[in-house]
Amino acid sequence: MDSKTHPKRVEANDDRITNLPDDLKSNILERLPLEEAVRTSFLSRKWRYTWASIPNLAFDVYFVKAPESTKFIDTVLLLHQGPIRKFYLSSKDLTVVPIERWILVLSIHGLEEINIRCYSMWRMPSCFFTIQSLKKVYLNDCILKLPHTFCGLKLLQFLSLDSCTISDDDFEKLVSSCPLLENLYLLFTSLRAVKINSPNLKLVKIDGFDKKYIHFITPGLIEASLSFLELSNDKIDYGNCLIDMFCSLSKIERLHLGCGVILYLKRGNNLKLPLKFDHLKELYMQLYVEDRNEATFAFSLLQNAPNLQYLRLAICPIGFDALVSIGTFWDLAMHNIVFEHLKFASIMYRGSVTESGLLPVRLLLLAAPLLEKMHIINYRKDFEFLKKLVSFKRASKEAEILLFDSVEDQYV
Amino acid sequence: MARSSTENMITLMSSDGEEFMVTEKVARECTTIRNMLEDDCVITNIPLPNVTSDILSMVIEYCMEHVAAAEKAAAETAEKGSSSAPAAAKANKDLEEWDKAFMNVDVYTLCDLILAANYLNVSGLLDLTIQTAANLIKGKSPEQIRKTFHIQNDLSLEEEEKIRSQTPWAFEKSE
Repeated sequence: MDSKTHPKRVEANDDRITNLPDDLKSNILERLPLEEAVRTSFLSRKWRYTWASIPNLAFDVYFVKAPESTKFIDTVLLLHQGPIRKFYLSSKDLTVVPIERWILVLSIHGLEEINIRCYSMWRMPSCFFTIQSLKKVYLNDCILKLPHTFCGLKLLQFLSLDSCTISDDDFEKLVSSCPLLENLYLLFTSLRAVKINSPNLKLVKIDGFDKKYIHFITPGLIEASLSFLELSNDKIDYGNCLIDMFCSLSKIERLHLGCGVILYLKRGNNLKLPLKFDHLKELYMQLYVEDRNEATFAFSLLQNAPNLQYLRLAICPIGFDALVSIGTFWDLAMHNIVFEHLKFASIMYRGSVTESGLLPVRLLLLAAPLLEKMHIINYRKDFEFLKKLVSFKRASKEAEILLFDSVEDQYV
Repeated sequence: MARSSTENMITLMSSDGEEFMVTEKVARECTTIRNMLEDDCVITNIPLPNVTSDILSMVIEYCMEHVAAAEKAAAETAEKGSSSAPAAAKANKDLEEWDKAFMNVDVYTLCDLILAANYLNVSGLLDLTIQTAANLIKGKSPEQIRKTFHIQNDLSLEEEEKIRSQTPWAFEKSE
């Protein structure tokens, strides 16, 4: 440890690390695996309980099997002193019971952040819903049931539920009674209907949803990302649910419409969008370009997004009811749209590149005067494709077109 | 370093009375000093009774390097309109290398730097020094850690036995 650049200052037996203030020592120990932090209790008397005031406890208990890991967490919680701000637990083989016991301990220690990744279903004890200090919650495979006395989590800002089980009503109540909630992630949920009434919500991500009833009252939403599981042939009345959601997106800046969203949308009859998205800057859409309904929706959205800067399209090859006249439809659209602020566009082909798959490329090149860059991904090194591509008129002299074999290639 | 003459200079005085002239921008890297400057904008001479001159000169060296790196990145962004990702990644890597070389110090200096970074509230330096200390502990047996940091073991045999029995899993891997 001798320094070459700085003078060495030797004072024999000068134990400066022990004399650092406790919070700094605990800050050092926090960066070690927990079992190593606990091992420092063996250094000297002054170090004996230093680890016990680490406010952030991360149990990555892959290093020991179930019975020992349970004992390990039990002892740490028993010996711990002071507040526990963060509790992180990742385990494959812990059983249900101890987690409930630990939540009980944590509920009285000023817990702010909890992240439990446990890959068997477990039930959240009701005391969890009284932890008013909670700010961030990440849960996996958890069964949640609100107690009757539930009156909200007043400081909660971040909620992520992955493969969790909760009733539609409880979910609606949970979200609407957390007034500071800003980020909501809902992955592979069992909910039948997602109802979100949350005035301060800024970001919502719903992935792997398969029931298709969504209703948002989220006037402050800035970023939304939706991807559904492939549509099943169930008999739900689709109505205009998604349109209900779009009414709540007046401040949206980034919108991601992934797998199945537009497909679902066209089941409803109302394809015209009711408002302008003046703030929308980034848009991703997965689109069956040959399907007239999807194309109509896409145009409607693009026409109502005058300030769009980044557009990413994933083009799927063959729509459900592909029309012969689809080319004419896109041609007509060309006269009705200008992408005044578009700087970047990317077109990714899923599956084969059909002739109509080129229509959006032609449209974007023609109607985006400020386009700086266009990425075309997965064009299958098709020579005919390239021939057509170079023949397209470009509104922007600056537009640079880059071709990639895969999504990852863009970042090399 | 070339500076425009209009830039405010601040004098920082170490506990042993040595004076260091730095630009206001460099001084503002220390949140503690930034707060002082915001409370009293005409202040030009700041005594720092908790920091010795050798440690203060290192803190200033760190702040100057990081201010210079940030200015360089900002200048590049302004020139090209947007920063190019590879260039930014390289600049980051260079700064990381610099940090790493800067941390080539003995444990006494390291502990003093932790205290100074904490007192002056230089978050980047505090994070760097704390992480360096953690790295020196990581993967070592208690005996090796004591040797590294010159810690005297004052535990009795009974106490050692008690700790071992209380938390047996913590010692399984090390012994």
